[in-house]
Amino acid sequence: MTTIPLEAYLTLSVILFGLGVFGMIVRRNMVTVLMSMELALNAVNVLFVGADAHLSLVDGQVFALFIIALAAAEAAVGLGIIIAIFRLRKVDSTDEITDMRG
Amino acid sequence: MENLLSLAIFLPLLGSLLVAIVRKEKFSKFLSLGISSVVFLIVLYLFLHFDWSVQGFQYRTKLDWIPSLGISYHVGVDGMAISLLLMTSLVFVVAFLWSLKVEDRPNLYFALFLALETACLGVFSALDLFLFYLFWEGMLIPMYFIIGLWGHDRKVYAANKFFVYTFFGSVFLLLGLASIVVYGYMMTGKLSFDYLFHLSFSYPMLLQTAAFLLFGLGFAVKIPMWPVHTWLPDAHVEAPTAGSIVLAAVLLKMGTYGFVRYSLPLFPDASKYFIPLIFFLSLVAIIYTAMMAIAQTHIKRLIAYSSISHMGVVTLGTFAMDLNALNGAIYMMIAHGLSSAALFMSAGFIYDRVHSYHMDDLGGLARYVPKLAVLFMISGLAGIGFPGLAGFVAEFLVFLGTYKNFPLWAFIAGVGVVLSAAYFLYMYKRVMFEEETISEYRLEKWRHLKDLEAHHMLSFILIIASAFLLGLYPYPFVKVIEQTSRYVLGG
Amino acid sequence: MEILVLISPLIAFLIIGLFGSRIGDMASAIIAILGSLFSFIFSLWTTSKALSQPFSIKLYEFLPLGDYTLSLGLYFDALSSITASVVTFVATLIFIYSVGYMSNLFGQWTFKFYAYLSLFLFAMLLIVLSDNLLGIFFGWEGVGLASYLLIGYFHTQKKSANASFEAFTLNRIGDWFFLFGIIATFYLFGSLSLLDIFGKVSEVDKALLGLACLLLFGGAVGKSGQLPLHTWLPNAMAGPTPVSALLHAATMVAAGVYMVARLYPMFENAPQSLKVVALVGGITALFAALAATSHTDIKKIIAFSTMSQLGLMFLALGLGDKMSAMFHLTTHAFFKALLFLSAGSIIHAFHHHVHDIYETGGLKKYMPITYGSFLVGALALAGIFPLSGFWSKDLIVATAYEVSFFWGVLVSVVSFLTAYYIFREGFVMFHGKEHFRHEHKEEPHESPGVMAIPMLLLALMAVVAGFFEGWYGGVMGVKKELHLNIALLSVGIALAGIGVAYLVYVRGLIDPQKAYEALKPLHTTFKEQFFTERLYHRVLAGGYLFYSKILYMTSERQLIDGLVNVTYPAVKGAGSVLRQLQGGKLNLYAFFIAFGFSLLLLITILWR
Repeated sequence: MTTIPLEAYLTLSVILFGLGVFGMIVRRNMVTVLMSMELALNAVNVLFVGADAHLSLVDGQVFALFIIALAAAEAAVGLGIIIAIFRLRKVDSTDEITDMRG
Repeated sequence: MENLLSLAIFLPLLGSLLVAIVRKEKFSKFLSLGISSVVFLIVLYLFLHFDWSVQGFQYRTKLDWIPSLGISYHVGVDGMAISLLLMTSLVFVVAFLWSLKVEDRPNLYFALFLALETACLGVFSALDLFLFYLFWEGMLIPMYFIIGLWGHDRKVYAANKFFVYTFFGSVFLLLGLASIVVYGYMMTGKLSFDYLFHLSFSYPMLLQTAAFLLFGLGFAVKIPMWPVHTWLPDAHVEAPTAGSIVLAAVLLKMGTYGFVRYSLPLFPDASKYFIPLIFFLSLVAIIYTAMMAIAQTHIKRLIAYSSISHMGVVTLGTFAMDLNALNGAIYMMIAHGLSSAALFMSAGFIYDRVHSYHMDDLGGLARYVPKLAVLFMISGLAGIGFPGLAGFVAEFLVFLGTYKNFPLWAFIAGVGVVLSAAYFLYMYKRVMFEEETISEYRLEKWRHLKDLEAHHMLSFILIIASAFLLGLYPYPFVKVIEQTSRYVLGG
Repeated sequence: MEILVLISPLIAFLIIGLFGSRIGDMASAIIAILGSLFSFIFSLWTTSKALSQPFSIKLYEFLPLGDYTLSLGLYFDALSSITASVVTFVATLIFIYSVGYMSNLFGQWTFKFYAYLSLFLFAMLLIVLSDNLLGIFFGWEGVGLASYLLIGYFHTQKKSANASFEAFTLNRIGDWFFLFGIIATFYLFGSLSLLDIFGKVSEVDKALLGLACLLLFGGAVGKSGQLPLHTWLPNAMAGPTPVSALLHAATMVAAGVYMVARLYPMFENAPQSLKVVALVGGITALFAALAATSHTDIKKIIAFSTMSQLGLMFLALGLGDKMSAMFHLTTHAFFKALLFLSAGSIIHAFHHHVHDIYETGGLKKYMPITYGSFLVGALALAGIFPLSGFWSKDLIVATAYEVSFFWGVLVSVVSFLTAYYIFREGFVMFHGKEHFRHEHKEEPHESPGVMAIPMLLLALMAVVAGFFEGWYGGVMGVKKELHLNIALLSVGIALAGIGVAYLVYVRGLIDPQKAYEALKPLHTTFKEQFFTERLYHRVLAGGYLFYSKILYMTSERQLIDGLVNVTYPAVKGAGSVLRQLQGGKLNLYAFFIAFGFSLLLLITILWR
């Protein structure tokens, strides 16, 4: 079995993370921003698992599991907040939620 | 015995929480009065059992707090601290007594004052630099709200000015604290905020100079020294009477206390180096602010400027490097605490009755509020250093001690004796005398004025009796204070 | 027991001060009189003890000054106990007199008046009897306060309020010097006790001792109304007349002379300082005598006369003759109190509305007792044989001629002017036309017995006190002889002064109004006290106030506070720029996070 080189994991992870950050910066829809965030999180997961495979360890996989659980919780809370805001304001764009400005 | 000091410090804080929880007006008032009286009695007990023949700090308590950073809960008192604690606790009793008739949000008012009392007592008894800074800053918050919520017309401006100004000074104080702690760590490998630990060091000149300036700026703002003094008149003018009493009597002393407690013993060489600067600023404070005082038409602003002038005498005595002068400077802190409290009470009473602080609106009051006229006069005499009252002993000691090494400076500073009499009597004349120049409309109002009530009288009697005691029999008090002066100058 | 001399007025003060409003004005007056009387009786008793053997009493430890502990205490010797007796005697009579004088004000908080009087007496006795300099300073400031309260007794009037303010402030300038004199003395002797000082006085550095003496004398200048701190003294006449009498006879102004006499061993050992004392005294004596010739206020003439006589006493002290200065102080206390009480009697007769000598006139037939009293006082002041003033002034004249012809002539000129101005006042008020008819319907009446008896007693003393000269010199340890030629000379000069006044004001040889018109510039100069009062009020006091206000408006408000207030908009401006970045835009924040993180990453990589 040919092993997938570490560089492939890293490249994939960086691309996914870059996409996630890019999405967070350019998209205005709150649900999309949340999804971009999930993407960035999963990029990190890939990195953890890849590094584990390379080093033959399990710590990273434990972390990855934690992150998945955390991401799920975060998505739930995040979506809840978004829905609450939408019910209150009838908006879903980040440009219109600027109450926290200094 | 050792824990009594901590009890005295934290009892008001406990009271503050109780007041905040129960929120019943009567309860707040009497609890505050009760707690402050108990604190006063505890401090008085400690004062009477204080042994002035023994060097060092007494009633010490030391508990680990954040051991990894070398921070501990360490309190204790020496002669200066116990005297200031006694004055502070008395002034708070009087402040509560004076505030018995407060109607606007009384619960919050008393809770804030009680919290303030803890902070004030803590500053004077902390022996840990971190703890000291905590209390030092902790006092800002209640005072800010006291001025900002119960003040007069421009209260928000004054409160902001007070807060920003003193906070600005505190930042430098924090830097200074950090610098000596870091130096101690570099030298011994031990991180410690303990005052006694740092007392045993002798720092290099460069660090002394830097730290002296950093500490000094923090203290100078609080005292306040010229030219960082302009927050004080505004704060006093806008503050409610009890706030002014505490501000003048206690808060200003923190700066001068800091000079004696920290700057002199920790940085002795830098202190000597900066004598000319401090003397110059002190003389400017004495003469310039006395001129500012006589130019005022607002009673409280005048008294505020007179406070700055008197603080000039304190800084002069502190840095004269003489036992008598230092005794006098510390004595002045207490004497000024009493006299300024009494003066602000008089001014506050006039405002309560006439609703004006402006001398143009006043005049000829002496015949209509005779009790106040007498007590106001005695308060003023205490302020201008009249023999028989506390201020005289203090001024005499400061001038005597300063004259030894710096005769000309002392003599010039002595002109304060004349100028203070001039501005006080000039004010008194315009407020109390010259009835014939007052319009009939005002006189008609004056005729219905009510003189001092029982709680006013009691407040005045407490303060003025103390001023007389300190002025007529200063021997034991000076002995207690000397316990501090000797180690500060000897160390 | 001896301490009762000092504290019986204090007890009276405390009782009246605390309970005066309850016990009433009459009871307060009686308590004040009793306090003073007790003090007088005890001081006679202590005098008899002190004359045989001086003694001191320690009261309590007052103040630790390093290794030296300052104790308060009293010291009784011939000088202090005799002075205390004189002070309490005159004060008692004035207290009694004031019951009559103030009777129209009874029921209007007049107990205050007696409280102040008792405080005044207590403070004066503290000066006289203290055995250390700090105790003297306590009394020193105490008489300052009491005089402030009494001069401003009619404080509803602007004039009184200003006069009392001026008195206290000018006195405080003197006190400033005095305080530093005490401090300088402390460093010279290492002690403030009079006995320690007298014991070591010849051992210390002369130059520093001279400096200390000059500073102490500065205090005396303020308290005794000498040049240049004199303007408060004539203005102090705004107070009630018994106060003027007390102020000028027994207390306050006498304190300066007494203090120099008390510390005379110090001054003697610093001869340079005595020259200054003589110079100030001499100039003031002439200055005040000239001013007295041109005033027309009943009390102000006598006030200037006090200033002039005090100048003579300082001159005597400066010329090295302590005994005659103190003896003149004693006799002066009697006849000056007498003159003031007579003047008060006249003012009282006109219901306190008349203060100018030209509003009275011809009072001789209406007020015979007052006339007699005034005459005795005036003759004594002029120094006519055999009244008390003759004996004491003669000593000063003799000393002055002994030292130098210049001082002798000066004293003679002052004596001439003294005789002239006091008889000018007497002739205008008691002889002459009845000017009061213009405004007052009723005729003036003689004062009641409570006022007349003190006057008669003082008149008696003013006559006989001079005969005690030999005894007084004996107890002070000085022997003086009467110089016949000088005595004749001074009586002749005094008679000449009286004669001029008689010719002008009774015979009408020259019309005084026209004479004053003709000499108007001179007259104005004298009347305005060589324009010193105007200088002080307008230029110094006014200038200080004006400059303070200017400084407040510019330096304080614009410069210092201005700078502080500028920081607020500066910080606010900076904030309004920076807040643009915190627009609440979620995407922008995310960009900043990513950007910042990348930047850190970049730095970390490039750092290697």
